[in-house]
Amino acid sequence: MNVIECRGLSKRFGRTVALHDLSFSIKENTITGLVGPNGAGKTTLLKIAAGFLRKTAGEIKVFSSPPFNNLKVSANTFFVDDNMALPATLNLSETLDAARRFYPNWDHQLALRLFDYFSLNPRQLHKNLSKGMKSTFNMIVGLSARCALTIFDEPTVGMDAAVRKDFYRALLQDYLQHPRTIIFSSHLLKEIEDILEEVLLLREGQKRLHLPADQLREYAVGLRGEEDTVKRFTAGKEIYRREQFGKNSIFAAVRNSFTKTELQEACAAGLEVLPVSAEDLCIYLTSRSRGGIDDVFNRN
Amino acid sequence: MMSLTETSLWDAVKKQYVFKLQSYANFFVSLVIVQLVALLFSAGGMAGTSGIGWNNILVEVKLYSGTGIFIFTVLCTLANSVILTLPFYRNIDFSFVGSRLSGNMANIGFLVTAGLFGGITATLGSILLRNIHYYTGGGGEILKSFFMITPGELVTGMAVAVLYLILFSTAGYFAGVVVQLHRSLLVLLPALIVGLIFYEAANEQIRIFSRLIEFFVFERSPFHFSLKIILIASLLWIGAILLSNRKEVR
Amino acid sequence: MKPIYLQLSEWLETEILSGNITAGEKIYSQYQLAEMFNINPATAAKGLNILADEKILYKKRGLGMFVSPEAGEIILRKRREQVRARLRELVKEAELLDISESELITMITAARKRNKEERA
Repeated sequence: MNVIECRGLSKRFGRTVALHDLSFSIKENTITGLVGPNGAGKTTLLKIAAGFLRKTAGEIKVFSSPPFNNLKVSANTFFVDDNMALPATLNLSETLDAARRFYPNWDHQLALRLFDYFSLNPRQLHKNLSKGMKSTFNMIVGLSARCALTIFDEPTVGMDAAVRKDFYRALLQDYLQHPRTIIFSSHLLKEIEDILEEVLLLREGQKRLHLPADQLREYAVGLRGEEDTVKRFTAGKEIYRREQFGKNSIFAAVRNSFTKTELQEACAAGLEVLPVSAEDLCIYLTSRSRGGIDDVFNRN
Repeated sequence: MMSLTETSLWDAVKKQYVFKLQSYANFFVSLVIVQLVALLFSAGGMAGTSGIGWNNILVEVKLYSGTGIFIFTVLCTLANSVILTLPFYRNIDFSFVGSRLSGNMANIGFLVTAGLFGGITATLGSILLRNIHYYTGGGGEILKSFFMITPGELVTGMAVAVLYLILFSTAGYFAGVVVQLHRSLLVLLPALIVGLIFYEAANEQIRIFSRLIEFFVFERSPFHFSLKIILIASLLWIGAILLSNRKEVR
Repeated sequence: MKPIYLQLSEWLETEILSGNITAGEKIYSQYQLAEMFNINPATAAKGLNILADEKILYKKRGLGMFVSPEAGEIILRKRREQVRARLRELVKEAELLDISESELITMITAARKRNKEERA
């Protein structure tokens, strides 16, 4: 069963196109990573799915219903981001108690244990928390709510590396015990790719890739060596990234549609065959120029 | 598989209402403080005028003081109702379970509660003020015949105060919702109202506001008065709900 | 970079080869593996399915996956083939550097000797 289904989804803010003709679906009980550069439309997409924003055109269904202003969707969706509005008058412990009343599946034991583990002060006010602590608190609420669809929009803002690591682990553990649909938007694909089942890559409001996360690492391959040789092997293929190396050498990242023998031939011809990490692939696929930042400095 | 939870509108409204009562409990505290300050001012006024000819001035001070507490209560409630429509407070409704309709209904519930609380405390406050007059000012002969009020009068007084507060808070809430529709309305709406007031003051023929005030103030039948307020408030509530039902949040 | 599910299936093979998990025994579930390796359970399932496809594991409906009786044999055969493949690459490299066959054999003998000493 699909929890989210989009067909031709578009969103405009005035004259700005935030999402354009987006079609995809998210299967039940999967963890999907939503990645893409700033301004790719990640937050807009998530806010439409959560029912906060209206779509401009196309179709989106969450739990088989249009999500905008939909109580059923709201009751089964939790949206965590770094500007969650909470009453300035309640301290953290009171806020937890308030959140608890809204969600029938709420796990208060988990909330309290995480609260303890991350040494949050129950008497503190949410507005007085540091950025990282705020993110930690929001994450705890998001996990404990145990909603069928849990959306984390850049949930790790301000968290230090150790807390982020704990968070990913907590997320996975809780997911294993209570499978549910989780969408996680992040810039730090390297940190989260192992716990993802799928990756949805956006670029300028459009879908660039939607793949099982473990296929991402094999999706592309890098060839490095003498320019003519590289060109010979990459002929007819879309080049995701091309970098100059020394005098006559280049590095080119292309779709990995080579057979094993082809790759061996490339090696034999003196080329280096390099893996392209998931993170690099996403950067290559969403950057505006094929040469990357170096294009700014090399003007010939 | 995680089963989907069913939530009825009523259920969501109740939860949001309780959440609001808990989160905005400080509103009730600050309202009482404001009323006490108003009471103090009114009582102070009495002390200042007590030196000269008793009878005339006492009547004036009494009238003024009871109204003083009520006006402060109205201002406080009005401010509170507008604050509820600000984006930050509106977004709190969408941190947990809720729709635009349920959030609006919970707000209405909260404003009615605030009106009840404010109306009752304001009435009790003005009675307290009369007592302060009576016991500290020595309470002359003339005073006494107007001093005692029947329980019926007390309840009617409270009811009128509550209904007025609900009317004002609803108007404030509606205005707040309208202003949130577009930035420019923040300037346009007050300008329009103030402009109309001046226009009306300058032109004898224009009688929008005076008619509006007469519509409520000159109503002698308590039943009709209540009906009028409930009707107008309901229209404003429905208007607020319709206007905000398509609004994007967060 | 080797995909995680391949790393996982190789780890499981090594566990079977070294006798930590014996034939007929139930192997870790995808959820246990996900927790152990901090990976998505779907990825873990892929690792298990590779071994099931190679008949190293077999499925019992509703009970999970078990190590098949011939698992050790299959893994050995597979690993030997891998050694052979790597050797071919090594030989190719040696040819490129003009290393003679006897020299290569000497090198292999020396490497084996050193490993033995290190282990002792």
